[in-house]
Amino acid sequence: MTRFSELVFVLGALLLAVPALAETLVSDAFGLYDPATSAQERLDWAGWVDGPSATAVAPQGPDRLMIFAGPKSLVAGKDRGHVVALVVDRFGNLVADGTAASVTVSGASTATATTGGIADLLLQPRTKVEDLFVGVTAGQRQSPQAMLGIVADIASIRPGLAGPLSDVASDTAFEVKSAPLADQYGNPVPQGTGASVVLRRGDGSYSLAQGLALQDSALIRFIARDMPGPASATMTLGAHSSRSAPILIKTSAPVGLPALEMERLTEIGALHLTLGPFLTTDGYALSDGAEVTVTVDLADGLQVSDHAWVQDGEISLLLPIGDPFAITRLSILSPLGPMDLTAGWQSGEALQPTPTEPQP
Amino acid sequence: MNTTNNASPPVDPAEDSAGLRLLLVALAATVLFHGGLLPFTHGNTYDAFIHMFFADHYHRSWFDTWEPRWYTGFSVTSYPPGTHMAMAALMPFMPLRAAFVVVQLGGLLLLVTGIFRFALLWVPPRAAGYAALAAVLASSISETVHLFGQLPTIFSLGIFLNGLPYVYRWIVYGGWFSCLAAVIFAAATTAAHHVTTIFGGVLFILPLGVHALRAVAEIRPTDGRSPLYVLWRFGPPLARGAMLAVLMASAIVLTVFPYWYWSVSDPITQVSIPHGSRESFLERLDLGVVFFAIPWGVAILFLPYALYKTATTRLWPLGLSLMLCVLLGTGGTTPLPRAILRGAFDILTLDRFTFWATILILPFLGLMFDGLLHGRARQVVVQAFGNGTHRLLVGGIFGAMTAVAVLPAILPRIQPTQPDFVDPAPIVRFMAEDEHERWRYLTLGFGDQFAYLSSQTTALSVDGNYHSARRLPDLTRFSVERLENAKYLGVPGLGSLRQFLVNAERYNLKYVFSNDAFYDPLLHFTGWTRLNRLGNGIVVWEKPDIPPLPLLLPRRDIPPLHALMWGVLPPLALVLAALIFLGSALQRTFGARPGEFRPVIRMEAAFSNPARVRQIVLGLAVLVVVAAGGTTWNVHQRFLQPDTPEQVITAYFDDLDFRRHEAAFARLDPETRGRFEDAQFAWRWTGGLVASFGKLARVSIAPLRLDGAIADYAVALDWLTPLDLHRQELTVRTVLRDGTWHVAPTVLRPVQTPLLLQRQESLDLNVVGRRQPRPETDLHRDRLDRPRIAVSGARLVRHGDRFAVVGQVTNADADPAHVTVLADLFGAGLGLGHEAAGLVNAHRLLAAEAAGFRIDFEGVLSLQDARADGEYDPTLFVPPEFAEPPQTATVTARALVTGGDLYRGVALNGIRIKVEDGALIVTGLAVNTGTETASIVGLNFLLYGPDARPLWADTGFVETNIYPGQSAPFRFALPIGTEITIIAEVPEDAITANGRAQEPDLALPGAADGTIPLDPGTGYSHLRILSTSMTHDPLF
Repeated sequence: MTRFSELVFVLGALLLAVPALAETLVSDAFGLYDPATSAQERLDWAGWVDGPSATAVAPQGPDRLMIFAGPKSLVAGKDRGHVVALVVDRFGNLVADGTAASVTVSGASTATATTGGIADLLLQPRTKVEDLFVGVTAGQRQSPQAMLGIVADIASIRPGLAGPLSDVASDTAFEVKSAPLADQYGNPVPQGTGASVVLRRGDGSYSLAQGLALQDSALIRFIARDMPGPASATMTLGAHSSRSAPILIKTSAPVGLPALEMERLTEIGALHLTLGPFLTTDGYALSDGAEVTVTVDLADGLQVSDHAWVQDGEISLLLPIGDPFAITRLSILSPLGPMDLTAGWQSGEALQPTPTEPQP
Repeated sequence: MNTTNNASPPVDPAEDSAGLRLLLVALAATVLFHGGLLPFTHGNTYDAFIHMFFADHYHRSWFDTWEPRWYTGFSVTSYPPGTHMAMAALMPFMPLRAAFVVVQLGGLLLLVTGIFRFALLWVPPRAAGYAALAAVLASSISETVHLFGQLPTIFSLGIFLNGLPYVYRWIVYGGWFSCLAAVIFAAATTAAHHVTTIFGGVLFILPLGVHALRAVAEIRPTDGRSPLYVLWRFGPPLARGAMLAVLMASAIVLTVFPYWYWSVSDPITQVSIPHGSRESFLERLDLGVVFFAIPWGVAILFLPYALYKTATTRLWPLGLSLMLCVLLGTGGTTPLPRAILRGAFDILTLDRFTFWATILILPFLGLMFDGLLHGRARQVVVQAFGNGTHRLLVGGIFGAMTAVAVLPAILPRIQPTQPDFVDPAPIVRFMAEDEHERWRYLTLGFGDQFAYLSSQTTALSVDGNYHSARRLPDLTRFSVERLENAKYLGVPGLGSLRQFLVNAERYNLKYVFSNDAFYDPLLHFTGWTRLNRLGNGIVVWEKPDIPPLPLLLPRRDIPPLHALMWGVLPPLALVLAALIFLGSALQRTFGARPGEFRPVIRMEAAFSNPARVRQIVLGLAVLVVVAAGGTTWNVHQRFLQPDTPEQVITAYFDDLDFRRHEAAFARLDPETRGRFEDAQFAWRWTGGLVASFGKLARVSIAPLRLDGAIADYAVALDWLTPLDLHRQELTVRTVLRDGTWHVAPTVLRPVQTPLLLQRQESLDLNVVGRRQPRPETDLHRDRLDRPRIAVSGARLVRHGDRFAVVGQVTNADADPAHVTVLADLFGAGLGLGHEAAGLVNAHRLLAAEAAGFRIDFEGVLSLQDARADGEYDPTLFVPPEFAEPPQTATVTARALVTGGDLYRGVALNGIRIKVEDGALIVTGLAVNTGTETASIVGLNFLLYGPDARPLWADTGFVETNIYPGQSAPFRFALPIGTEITIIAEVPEDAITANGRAQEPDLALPGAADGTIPLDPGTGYSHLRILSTSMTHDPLF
């Protein structure tokens, strides 16, 4: 009968022996290998020293080229580019120094030789905006294509406005466009370059918009809303600004006074006021959304003021005034300018009493 | 205390049998009721997915105690593993969610059985059977299972109650098996949830100990022996009790020793998280419903009965424990719980006491139902009111209990507590593809499904769903449970989220999965880019230029012995307890010997005067009807009183906030409001930061003038938006008509778009990046150069208590750039802080564009500060506490080429700048001149000092969205220049751009280039404004 303690020894021996039997691989600086199967292949590796014979194995011819080209964006007339290719043989060894290679830039080849497995070419600054396609050839092998771009020298672009600016009607869209923008070498401004325009008005207010360059000009858009009157426009690109140019945001002129209607709301002690239409010389009523401020002076010295926006040429307001006959002055301020409606009011034409309200 | 009914009941096999039959009915009902609901309800619960996540951890690695997927890593020894390991053990045979349902149902069956066995110690078997039946319909258990998803609570209590008979038996009779079983059950309970064992020891075992001593006194009567014997007879039971206490405490410590070790070695130092159970339920009725009314359900009506039985029977120890739990469960409604619990009040979730109270009352309920169906109560009701009334009463109680028990299961359908189900598969696939797992991710608007998503992926998140394990200061300094639901936590929640989104680099956070468009503005204006929408509707956001996670992540290992204990002892305790339980379940009455327990004795004497009972009950009914009628009348009268103008205004804006347009329209002046469709058009037309993304936080109303039936008010509306606390100031007119105040309708400014069809040239950009048909994810040939950017005029400034680095960043390259700006703050010798520019940074710049940036350095709220004022003030700015005064700073900027979010179609018309009330007020009209809808318009302000160098930078957001051709007014308040103190200039050699010294392609714009000159009285010389926009519309 087998004793249990004997089994323990057998098990221990097995645990120790099996790993020993499995260790057929040999390790060196390049990793593990099986001497029985892969030693011969390793003899082809560069740097292999074959025992006492001390035979050095040289790298083989170019097999694979890895290309690095940069910077990807080169400023015209300023930046130099560098095309570098790493050339290795079929085993990944760097090829021998002096291996012939050529660097091709947009079809023009330049012969060179490898050093430390590297073939390279330093590109001198170029002044014309273009995309450069580059590659490297060594032996019968070529690298993949790489790309470099020459971009305009935006530091040298001076913005200028494209001629005098036309007058602009109120509430219409208009553009402030630059003259064609080019750098010192005549390259057009890169599309998407940011620019801005500041409109300075005589009343001390400003309007400001950003835009970008499209084709060869910068285009900044405005809508002439809440900015009537003359202004001066300046375009800025980077640290350079154009000269100021005048622009007029035209204001409409009124045609007579707006009609005034009032309804006395005795229930809540208020006046419902309707003003309009606001007629203009443009041939159409004042634009929707124009702000009108109504100011009412009362006999007791109080002043009631409120504002509304024009819709369909009119405004409508609810004023907390219980007694319409206490009004001493009624004036309005609109984009058409200030207007005094007191005379029309005092003539009594405007008041439309409610049917239930007895005449005073 | 009346103790007349203290004799042991006679042993009645029929009664035992009746009790067991009722138990079997209860178990069957549990399977039918809870088992039927669980597959459909667990997905809507708060905690179920968290426990599944832990289960998934043990399924992946049983003995590894480090979980890297949440909070940049945490130790799972922070939660007892019993239930999680039980699920993990089932996962080879079934999916995770099925494993959860099985374990939860097992816990429920254990609990019902445990309640029966616990009740047996106090009441006769048939009453114990009714207690088990009452447990099936207990709304507290239903809520815990179907609304809260608290698996460990149910499972551990089930184990605990099953162990109590052994405690009783050991104290009264001794027997080493009982002792061993009691200790094993305590260990198994702790393995599932340690809190149950600890509080159960006080609330369940102490009353049971007193009960046991009483049993000892009855078994060993004094019979005229010496007074010494009167005391001596309690000696052995007390010694056994003390010994058991020691052994159980040892079991509690040993079973989850790594948990205790973690608690001591890594104590929780975080701002306490508010919990609804600590609020006053009278002030917060909604919380009162969830944490008091629903868990109590119908059982609260029988609390007087329990009180009566406490005062008159041997159930008094149980009753006292019950009353204590009732009291503590009222939370902040009365000052008593805080006075009793002191510091623990702010840590404990007090609804747990209500839950235990509803368990402790079950023996009382069992006794009551027993009497109502078979005993004296039945006789009284039948004699006084007849059989029909008796049936109606019993049926009514059953029906009411069933209805309230079902309520928690259907509550999420009535009032959704979680977002709709989000299929995690597309997110899991996204993170697994293209090496996205090399970065961390964050989810927004997932609710507790985030935990389920986490369990499905090996990707890492900075967030988590188990707040006790949080250790990141950015999380623990705020009372924010998790980032995922930040918007529900107001300013502190959004503030904490913003910290992570701005300083994403610190956490290798690159992806955000958003299920809530509310966060879109915050993501956009902190520099995140919207990538695409996945198949499940989730929007993926990406932050460019975030370094990937290191290959080796830091982890906190525990000693190997601890890991071994954690992986072995809890499941071992559960297995041993299961074996003992199965062994006892095979025996009649779970192995209890006849007459072993000393339950309360039923009162057998018949009621002497049923007519008197009828009179009293009817009298009480009349009183109740009168009181209810009076209350209803009072409430009715109160509702009839017209609202004040202030109330009408508040209600009006509240209605608009919740998009109750019909209700808001009803509050408008009926004479001037026009048609509903017109009013609704105006409300729907207006979107943007306030209308689409804002939540009304406060309405402040100040009277301007009252003129008879017209009253004007200055109304300030404070909106909580994803970007800031936005204040809207309005003048609102109210009019009195027919005795009711109405709001005068406001009018939409009817601006006309100038062109019916806009034709505009535009520029579309495509950055190829990694989108190449090659397996490599990082091909050098695809890489564009980093755009050359330049930081100019940077300086360290102080405004009030705030330290900030301000400056100008210019895209000095021909390509559009996504810009990241960071700053380090230094004292004389120490580094004091590292922050990134958040909202005050343009982030995306066209070639040759310049903008301002400001990097704020804020302090970290200490726990002492948080507690000093009693309550944490979420709007409090915490002045930074530096080890030494800040003296200088360095700035690092990086950029990548970007092709999106570069809309520049918003012009600013009529900009006026003036000093008003000590602030620089900038007003104007933002006009959309382009072709896209500007959902949110952000204005970047860079203010130059008198020396023409940047002095301050800020950002403002236009209140409404702007459709093409439309416009919106804006008004922003900025600090005046004299309030800014310059501490130091940041020298040129302290500025790094793209990892090296700056090499701009162009001369950098100065203060006078493209800016608005300012009056010297403002303290500034020029103002630069850059208008940027978020152009995608929200889905709501």
